[in-house]
Amino acid sequence: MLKKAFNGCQEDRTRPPPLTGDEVYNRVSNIKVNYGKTVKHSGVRNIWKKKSIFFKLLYWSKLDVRHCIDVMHVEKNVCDSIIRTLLNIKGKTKDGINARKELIEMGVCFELQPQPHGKRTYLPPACHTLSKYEKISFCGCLRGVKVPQGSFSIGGHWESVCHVFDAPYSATWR
Amino acid sequence: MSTSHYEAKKILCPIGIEYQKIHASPNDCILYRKEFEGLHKCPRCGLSRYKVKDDDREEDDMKKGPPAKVLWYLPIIPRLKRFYANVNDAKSLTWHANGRRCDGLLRHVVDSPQWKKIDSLYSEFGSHPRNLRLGLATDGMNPYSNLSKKHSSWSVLLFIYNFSYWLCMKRKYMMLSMMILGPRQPENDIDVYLSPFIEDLRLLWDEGVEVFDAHEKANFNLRAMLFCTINDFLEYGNLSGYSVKGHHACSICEENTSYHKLKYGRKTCYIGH
Repeated sequence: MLKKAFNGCQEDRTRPPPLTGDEVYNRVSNIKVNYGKTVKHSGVRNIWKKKSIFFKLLYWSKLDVRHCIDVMHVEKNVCDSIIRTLLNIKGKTKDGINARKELIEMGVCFELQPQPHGKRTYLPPACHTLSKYEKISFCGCLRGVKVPQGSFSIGGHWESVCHVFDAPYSATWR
Repeated sequence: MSTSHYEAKKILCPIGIEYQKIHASPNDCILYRKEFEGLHKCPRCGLSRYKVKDDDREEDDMKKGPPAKVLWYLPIIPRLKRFYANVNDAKSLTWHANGRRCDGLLRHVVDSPQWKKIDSLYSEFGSHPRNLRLGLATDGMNPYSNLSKKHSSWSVLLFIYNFSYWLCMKRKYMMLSMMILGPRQPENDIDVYLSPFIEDLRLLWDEGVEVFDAHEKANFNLRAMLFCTINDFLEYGNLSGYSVKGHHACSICEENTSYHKLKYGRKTCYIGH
């Protein structure tokens, strides 16, 4: 079902193995940079920008996980986008005319592509489009969420609510 | 938490929590320390070390005044010593070796494979439970709230992973070790600001520091290492030196990152991640 929802192709590429510390060190060991905002960068374009100062620590290249990403932070941003799209908040939603035009460009999801009706354009409702009553019941559901601090209000504990909301998704990224 | 600057100073001065104010070039080229200590102008970009007023014509002659950009560095070694001078803290710093339940469940960084790898690679370091493993987190913040939206100061926080999981993220045991002031964020030049901190870390790793342990009532040689950093994705790019913008944003796929440029959204999206 999910396959049909996008372009019908199966994704069979796998993830390449992550770089080890020594491999990263080999890539960056020859890069010389002068720090400062006024310095003109040399013409050579490299995706590695500098030899990180952490490599001065002798054990740094031996570590498996050198940098971690703050999951709560990412969760909050993802959750913001999802809820704004669900509630169709103007200016913040990710589902607009440009997104639908993109579907024509990529040649997928024909039933969602925008249809011109004279001067106006009609955007067909997608599976995440909510009616007014659905939106009200969705907000009512969020209102009733109990967060770990024992609070009932959403205002002060937005990130905890995000965590509740995102839990099924975030389990797959970790 | 004290309410005023005066009260905060009153608390800090008797304890002797020292801080160093290191002047920096406003363009993040250098810190005025070591060989640049006595200079009044940045050798790279030529800007004055001090704030220049608009009506000040004699910019070159400025020898004193308020500095243009300051790095507040709170040295970590005296603070680690203070942890060991407290009986309770000194005891809870060895929690990872003594007080922990070992049932193979993942509760704390102690249970991670990296911790065990360090124990086996550097057995001399790993065999002493009092040696510290630190975590580092940085992020920008705006001290003026919404009054001046363009301002961005950067803070560097340190955690000690030797503490148990109910202590290591408590405010009392987190250490603010660096405050990079200034209206502009350091971006890739954050390495310049981290250098005094990294020097301390090298000292803690290579030689170690003589510290008194109040729990064991004896002196010992304290060593510490930086275990990992925790950031958001953009800052991860700054710290690791990888470019997390543009077409090759994935640091695992590198050049083979699958990306798609949206025509109408005018953004790059990463399909297949």
